[in-house]
Amino acid sequence: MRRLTRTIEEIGWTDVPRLPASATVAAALELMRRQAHDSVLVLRGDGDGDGDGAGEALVGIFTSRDVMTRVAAPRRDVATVTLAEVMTPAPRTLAPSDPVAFAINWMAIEGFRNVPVVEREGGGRVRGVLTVWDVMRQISSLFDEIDATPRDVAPQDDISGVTTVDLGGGA
Amino acid sequence: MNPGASGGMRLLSAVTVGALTRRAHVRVTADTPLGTVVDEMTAKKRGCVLVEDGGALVGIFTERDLYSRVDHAGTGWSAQAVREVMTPRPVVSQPGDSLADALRQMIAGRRRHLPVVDDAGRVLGLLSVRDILAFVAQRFPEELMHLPPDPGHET
Repeated sequence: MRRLTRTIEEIGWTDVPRLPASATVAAALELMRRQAHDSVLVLRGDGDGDGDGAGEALVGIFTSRDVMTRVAAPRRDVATVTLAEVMTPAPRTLAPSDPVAFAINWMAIEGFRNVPVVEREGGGRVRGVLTVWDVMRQISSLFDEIDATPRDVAPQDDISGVTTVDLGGGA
Repeated sequence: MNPGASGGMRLLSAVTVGALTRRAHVRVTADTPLGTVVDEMTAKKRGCVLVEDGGALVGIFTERDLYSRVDHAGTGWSAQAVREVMTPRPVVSQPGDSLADALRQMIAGRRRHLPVVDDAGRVLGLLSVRDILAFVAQRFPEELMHLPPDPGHET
């Protein structure tokens, strides 16, 4: 499907807040809340906050999952703990020229939901975050395209290969 | 199933929520202290729990609720009942709903999980965006198979 071979640049990504590693978790939470973002990028560099990424370098990402596993679960104090202590350091990144299929694979297999987008050339300019929602919008459009495509197949074809119903009760 | 891309293309839109993997869900009662909920989610590596009251689904509590609805100043939050910060009356899906519709609902509310319920409202399971991603990866292997991820961090 051509839609899955589109590049990250073509489908677009999400601007998320950027903070230095010395910022507190409380500061990150405030930005995440106010702007409804699941992550903040942690940068070192010019820190002029103009968002152009000039002179900046990515050192980590701090996500809603980190809030749970590295802050809330160990009962850390958000007013004093810095992002340096609880971020995911040196995260894997995608380049704008990478196909969206890369992201689908990572997100499906490893559960990534926020992948930093960083230029591979020119000093590694930090562009933003490819979120699971950026990807899911493409998949939704893919479904719509398939719905609009004439086909001659019975609606209930063999889907046993993907049928796994787990009714485990958990807690 | 037909692993080929063309087969996947023909069938995709007919797939229902009930045909996809629904992961085991974690349940808590509405009066459970948030600290216990967080510990449970962390131990079981879940991004959400379903909140029940008298056996009925009354809410969902997610990682997003944890950062957006909980006041993390101090330690008082951990004693708070989950009902005070959960998302009440969650949007649900049924096994017969089309996957495309479920996905639209997820995107519209940025909900990563939809509880899947039967006609009586009983919870059958949970559909997550990750299930849909895995389904797409499985249906379009030609586009995706040459992209083995290496083990790495979690973002």
